[in-house]
Amino acid sequence: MYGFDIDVVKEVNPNTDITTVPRSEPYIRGLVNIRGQVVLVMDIAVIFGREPRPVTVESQVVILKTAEELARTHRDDPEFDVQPFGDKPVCFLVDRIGDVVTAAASEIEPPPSHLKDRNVRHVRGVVNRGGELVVVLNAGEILASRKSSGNALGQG
Amino acid sequence: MAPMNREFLDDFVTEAREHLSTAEEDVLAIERDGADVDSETVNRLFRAVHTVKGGAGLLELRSIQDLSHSLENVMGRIRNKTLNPDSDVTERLLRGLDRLSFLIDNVEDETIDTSAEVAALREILDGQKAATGAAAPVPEASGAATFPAFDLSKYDLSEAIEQGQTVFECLIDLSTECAGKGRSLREMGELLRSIGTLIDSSRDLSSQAVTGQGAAPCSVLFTSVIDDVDIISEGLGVSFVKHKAYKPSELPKPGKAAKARKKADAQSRDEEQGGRSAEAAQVVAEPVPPKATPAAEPLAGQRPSAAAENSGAPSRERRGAEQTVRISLPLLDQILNLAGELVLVRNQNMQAVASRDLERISAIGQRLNVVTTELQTSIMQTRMRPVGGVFSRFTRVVRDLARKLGKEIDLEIIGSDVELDKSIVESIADPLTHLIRNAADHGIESPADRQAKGKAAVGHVRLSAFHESGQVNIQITDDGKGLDPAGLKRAAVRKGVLPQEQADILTDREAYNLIFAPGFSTAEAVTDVSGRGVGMDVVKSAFQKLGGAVDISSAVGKGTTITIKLPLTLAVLPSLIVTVEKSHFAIPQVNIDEVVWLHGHEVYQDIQVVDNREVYRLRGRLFPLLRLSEVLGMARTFSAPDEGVEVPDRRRPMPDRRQGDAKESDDRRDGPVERRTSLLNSVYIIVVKLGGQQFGVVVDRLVDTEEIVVKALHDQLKSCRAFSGTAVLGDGRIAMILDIAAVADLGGIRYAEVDEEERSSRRSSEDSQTVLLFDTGGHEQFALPLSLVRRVEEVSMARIQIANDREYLNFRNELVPLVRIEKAIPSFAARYPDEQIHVVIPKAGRPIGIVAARILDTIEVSCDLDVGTVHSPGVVGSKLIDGRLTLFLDVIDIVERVEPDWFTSAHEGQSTAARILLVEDSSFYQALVRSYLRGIGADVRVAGDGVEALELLASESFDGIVSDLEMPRMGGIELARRVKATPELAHLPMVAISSADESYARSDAMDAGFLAFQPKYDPDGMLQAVTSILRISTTA
Repeated sequence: MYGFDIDVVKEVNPNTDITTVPRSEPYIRGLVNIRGQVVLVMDIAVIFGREPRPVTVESQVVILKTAEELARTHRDDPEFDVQPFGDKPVCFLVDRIGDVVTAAASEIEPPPSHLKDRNVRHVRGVVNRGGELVVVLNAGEILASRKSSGNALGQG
Repeated sequence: MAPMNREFLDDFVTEAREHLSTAEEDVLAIERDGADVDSETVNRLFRAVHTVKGGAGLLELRSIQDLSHSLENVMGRIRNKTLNPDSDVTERLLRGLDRLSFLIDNVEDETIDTSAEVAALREILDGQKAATGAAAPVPEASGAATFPAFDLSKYDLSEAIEQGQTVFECLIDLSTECAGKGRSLREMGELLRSIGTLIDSSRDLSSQAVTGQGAAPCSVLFTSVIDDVDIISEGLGVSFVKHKAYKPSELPKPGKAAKARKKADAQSRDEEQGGRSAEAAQVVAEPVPPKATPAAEPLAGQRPSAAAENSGAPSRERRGAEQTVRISLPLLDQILNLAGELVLVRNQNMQAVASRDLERISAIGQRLNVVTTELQTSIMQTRMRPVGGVFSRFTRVVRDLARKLGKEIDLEIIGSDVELDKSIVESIADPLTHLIRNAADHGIESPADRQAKGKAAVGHVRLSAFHESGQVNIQITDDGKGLDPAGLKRAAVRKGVLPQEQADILTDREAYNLIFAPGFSTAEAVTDVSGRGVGMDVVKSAFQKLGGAVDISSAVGKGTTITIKLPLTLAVLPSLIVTVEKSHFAIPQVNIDEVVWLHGHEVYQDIQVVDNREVYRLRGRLFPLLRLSEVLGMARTFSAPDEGVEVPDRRRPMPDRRQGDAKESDDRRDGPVERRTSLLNSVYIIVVKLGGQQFGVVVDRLVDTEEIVVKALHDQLKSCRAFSGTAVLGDGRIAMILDIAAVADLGGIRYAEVDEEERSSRRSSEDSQTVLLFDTGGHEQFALPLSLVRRVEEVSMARIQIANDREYLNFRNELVPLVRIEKAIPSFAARYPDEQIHVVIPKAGRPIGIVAARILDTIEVSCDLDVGTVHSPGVVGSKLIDGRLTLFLDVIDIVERVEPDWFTSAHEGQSTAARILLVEDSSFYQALVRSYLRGIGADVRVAGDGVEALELLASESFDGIVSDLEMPRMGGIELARRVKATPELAHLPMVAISSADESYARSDAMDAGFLAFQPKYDPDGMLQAVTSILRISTTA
């Protein structure tokens, strides 16, 4: 079970009519049309080094805010780096949407040590919710890591 | 930097750019016209710089203010004609303006040094002072130590500051200004009060005394609404030894409340020390007679409100005018009207939907369509910018370059008002600069060389923009030395751009285009060949990125023309939507030449494999094919016929399996039909062009043409390389927009290869003829050039009369003998319809008819006939047309087989038939031209090239020569030169026929000795030319 900081989420949408993009990176599932906006769909499973997730009726996309939108909401938080979110909308393909829960910052524990090195920076921490662990992902870090790899490939 | 209001800063930058946009041109005009320059030009220039200075002063942009002040001083002198604007002066002005523009572009960078420019400008004035000696020499020591003499913090200057006045401190030499002009000190004080407020002075300015020689200079402190000390000096008729205009930053700061509100009645005053003494601009004014002060003008740039200071932190990002767009008010009104109309349509729509009135809804839909289109057009219009904004800078580029190279170049600019999308206008500046520099640098020769060649010493470069077929063309034409095709080819071979064999067969035009080939552009090529080539591939790709194309034409010694075609806008792209597998792709219409649908067995028949690459032959042109699915690495699927489900297709594309016998594929049209040859397996070939190159993109299905709105690509998708953007289609699907250049690159289409296809295609389009296709009911299909056909008649058998075993057609009360092809050439079979036949009457002497069973078509074909395959009398050659063997007839031969004396008897009046030597390498044209010439009764001998012609000329006698220009071994030009050089042949009249570009070929031909030049597509003109020159030869 994974979680995102709700501040970076713009909306959740059940539209998984994904247009695949030939020659794109494996972690890119394609593009979806959300009310006329072309949104890039990423598969976190692939980013974490697993098999791509199948699209089912329960699948949804979690659309993130763009850098500009975040700059508006995070005006008071100079620490927060909005740059990785880019100027064009991006979303993550998820198997299903659970719930919105509130977690105090103190409840978020550091990521468990068994996580692979390359994934550890994508994780902000772990929250215990009724005995189940929710891994809180760091969307900005995930996007930042993709961006740099994408650029490197673009130059090659 | 002092804190400042961000908004004002942006406004200032935008406005300053606007003012300076014309400044450069004005300076160049001044340089051109010298002292006779239009005073309006100087005034405009002066105002522009003055306004910039005013704004900079308010915003405390010190370096801008200083520099513009120095510029203004010099311009002021030019304006009042006390300074002759020679080229040295204008050069310094231009440098200063350049620096000023740079400062404005980097308005927040305070470290930019301007001292060199300021000093250069000051030298002009100093130098002038020394030269004229009009002003009295100023004793440097006198009072210099005590200037500035006033401590501003002691004075109450708040009112002046609030009102945006300028505080001046000036040093007046009383010996010249009072005694020399007979003024008392008091009169001096009154003079100063007349222009502002006198705050303090180092001498008592109330005495009536006239101070004489040796008196100490007097410092005065005063404020004025005029911010230009020269104007004050001029207006008062008082020269200042020294003066200093205090910048707002140097003045004591008024309290915060006043800052925020810009009220005149400021409350608190800050006693902070403000006078940091920057070096005062030291200018010695001319003794100019007093005249009315144009007080209003200096105020133009002032906005007292702008002096209000805000404490917003200066941001690091560069601010620029490119972030804003200025829209004309009428256009904005139009957009507002349309928006209003759109709201109206929406309201109507809601009503109609509520009442479920389908008919009304569809009517509203149409209305919506109209309004949306108009709105879109209008909004696009807001992005349109005249190219003049970019063009105007080239006057300067060419001027500087000409000066540096010691050439004289005149740049003519045409079509500055042609508009293009803002983003395109901004992107063409650099590549255009490159081309213009090339034209000036490498194209135009030095004045001496030009005169030696009999050209005007001043070179001419023309930069023009104009609309053509929905695109904007930009042309750069120079009258320089032109490009030498042979030299280009040599260089290209040496650089390994293409092999020798390919270079040999390039036409001149293709050779010119070599300069755009990557790898060709090296410094060495520049010195060897005629000069161009540095980074030209970059220039070409820059234009291609904008959806444009570049072409080049040239003539040695005459000049070069480069033509760039650009789309009007990039935001909306008319595109063809295609699918491959289940994915939709958009191909921009500008890239598309045509679309070909192949289905069933055509897929195998027409697509061939050459050198491991699929190629397609279309009307004689051969070009490479790229299967989009392969280029994009998409997995192929096909519908299993039984189950109707998509399964992965493990088969290779069909033609791959018969690589071995691909060459014979032309004859395989009845080859085995395989399982996949159903309509389901049809393919579409999108013939796309890329610059001058052409190739085919194979897709599964066409969907529609649509005007798509381009959305930029996500950064993460840029590594795919094949796409230039995305678009949402009408049905909500997403389509990737194909970047054709990248697709070609991914598909491995190389320059030379495409060029090869392009060459063959171009050759065929040049050497093509429209032919009439008909048959006689047998297997054969016949072709006759349409230019040889006078008339085609559909006749009933009843109109045919038979006499003496011959058939005659009663045609306009004239009996026209008919010829049946099968009678002339018995090997051909014929089966005519019983009722109606067709009669083809060729243009050949007296009317005679050739009987045809059916007229099939008229079609344009290339003239590369196969002369070897079908050997038959009466046949020139054969060719596959639409897969059917077609025989090209030799009308003369056929007619003569039936009526041996037909042509000779047609010209009985002539004692002896004129003997004409026809020199032509193409067998098709041989036959064609021979027919024409026989038709006018000439006796024709044929030579295949110049060498053969010379042999014939040596052994036989002729009355004239008709020759092609481009032939193997020896071309027409060389042949003509040799003929003219041979005394016994020199009298022979010669006519050139060619499909080469008339504008260049004609003069070459005439120079070589031809009497007339006729394009091949104009047989009538050719016949006229031949008849007239033969007449010349017989009378001579």
